[in-house]
Amino acid sequence: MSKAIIRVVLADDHAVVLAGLRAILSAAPEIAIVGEARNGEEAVALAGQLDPDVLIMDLSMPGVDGAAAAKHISNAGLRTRILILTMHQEEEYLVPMLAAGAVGYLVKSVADRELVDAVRTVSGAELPVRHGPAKAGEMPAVIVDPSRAHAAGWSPRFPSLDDGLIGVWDEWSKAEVSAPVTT
Amino acid sequence: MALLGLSPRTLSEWVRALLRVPLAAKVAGANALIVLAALAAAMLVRRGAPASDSVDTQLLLVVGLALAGSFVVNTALVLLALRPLQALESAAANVARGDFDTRVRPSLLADRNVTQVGGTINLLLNGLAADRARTRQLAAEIVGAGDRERAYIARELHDSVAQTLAALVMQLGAAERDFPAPQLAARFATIKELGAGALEEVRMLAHTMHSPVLDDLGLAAALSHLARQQSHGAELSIVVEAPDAVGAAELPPSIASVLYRIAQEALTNAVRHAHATTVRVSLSTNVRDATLEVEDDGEGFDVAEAYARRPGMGLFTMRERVALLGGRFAITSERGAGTRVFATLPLEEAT
Repeated sequence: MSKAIIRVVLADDHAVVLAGLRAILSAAPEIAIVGEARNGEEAVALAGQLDPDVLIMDLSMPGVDGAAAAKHISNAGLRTRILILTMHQEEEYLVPMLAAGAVGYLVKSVADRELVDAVRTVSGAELPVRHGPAKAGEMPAVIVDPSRAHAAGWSPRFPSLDDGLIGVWDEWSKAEVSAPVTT
Repeated sequence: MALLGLSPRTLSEWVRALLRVPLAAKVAGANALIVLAALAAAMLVRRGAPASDSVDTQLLLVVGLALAGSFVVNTALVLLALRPLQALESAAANVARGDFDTRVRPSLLADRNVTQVGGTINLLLNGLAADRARTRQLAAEIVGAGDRERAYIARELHDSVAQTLAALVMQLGAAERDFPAPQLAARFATIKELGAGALEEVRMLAHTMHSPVLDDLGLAAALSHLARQQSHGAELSIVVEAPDAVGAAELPPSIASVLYRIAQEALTNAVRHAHATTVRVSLSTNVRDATLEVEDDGEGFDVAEAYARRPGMGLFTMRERVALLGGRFAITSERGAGTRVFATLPLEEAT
């Protein structure tokens, strides 16, 4: 288990959510919050200035939103891995986010349980702790796109879909045909 | 009268029947009667007088010709005078059929009274058309304002209340972890459950009021989400055919929102009432219009009968909303033969 510090930037337009994220991440000594952004524009700027390992970013923000910011960052060739943290549990949001360059997608309602593991997973520092299997038809809390990860120089080992909340995009989208998502 | 093979009528019935004969026929009939009576009188006079009086014969001929001439001229004048009334009549018939764009055509033959009647009818029709346009405009504004209000409340719920509840759950999780107290574990679990439950309820409520997918990602994505939502837990397959290009920016919000609502109503009908096993939702657009079709293989229903019974049924209220945007809407269904819902909306009229 690597004990290297994972440098994280947070981006969310809701102060209460930022405070919640700080509270959750404070439990993980290897995670250091190095910056906070209140919109997509600031997130892009901070990613460039601070070169964080992980950017935890809200999807819907005023002005430059999460998707546009993710596109900027991946187009700029920055090594920062983007974990989208959102209220939206609909698959339709996920696909364009992964296309925009995000490597992970986490739903806010499960952030208190999953965020630390999601950051560890996305940063590649550690394999996720295994959880009980996701309920049938439920979207895994974290979704990662291996091809994106490879492009970003990260070769993660994934647990299988059945193992629970961490899902691999390809496998999950195929399983989706027989197990529709509830919203 | 009974002898003539007609059903017996009272005198007043005959008078009323005669009065209902068109004016042209009355005038022609009266003229013909006068001509016949005059001829008969002349014959009688001649029979009493000495025979082969050539002057009498010539006079009789002249009078007869004059009477016949008068009959022709009278009939022609009356027919010409009545032509403008036909214009009034055809305009009235058009209005009765529901064509409110019709107007009484001015006629050179019309006398002052008829012209005035025609003019007044046209004025009334203009007023009616203006009122109808205003009513439609107002209805469109009310529907639009309602939609905007719903979208606003849904966004607020999603952006503020839901975010705060999510933050609450995060803080509770962190607090529980930072200050582990076995005697509080059950309480913490309950509070977190309440928070998570409230968050889910707010999210569902916001969703029901207005689809965020529609706003953020456009109609094609919203339709595919809707299909997945509706087919969940039901034994049916919903196929969505929508060009990916139909994104948020491609369709005006008023049009996207109406088409989404139609798809929603048609799918609800197919799943809940028709017990369909396959539904096809197809969306197509070109520069002029956007067209949505929803076809199912369900039980089908008698459209006219259903409309008479429940005019407020979701699908039927869509007809009005489509009309407000100047589009066309059709429900084709038959018992045992599935249902097809069709809507096409012009893109240039949308605001």
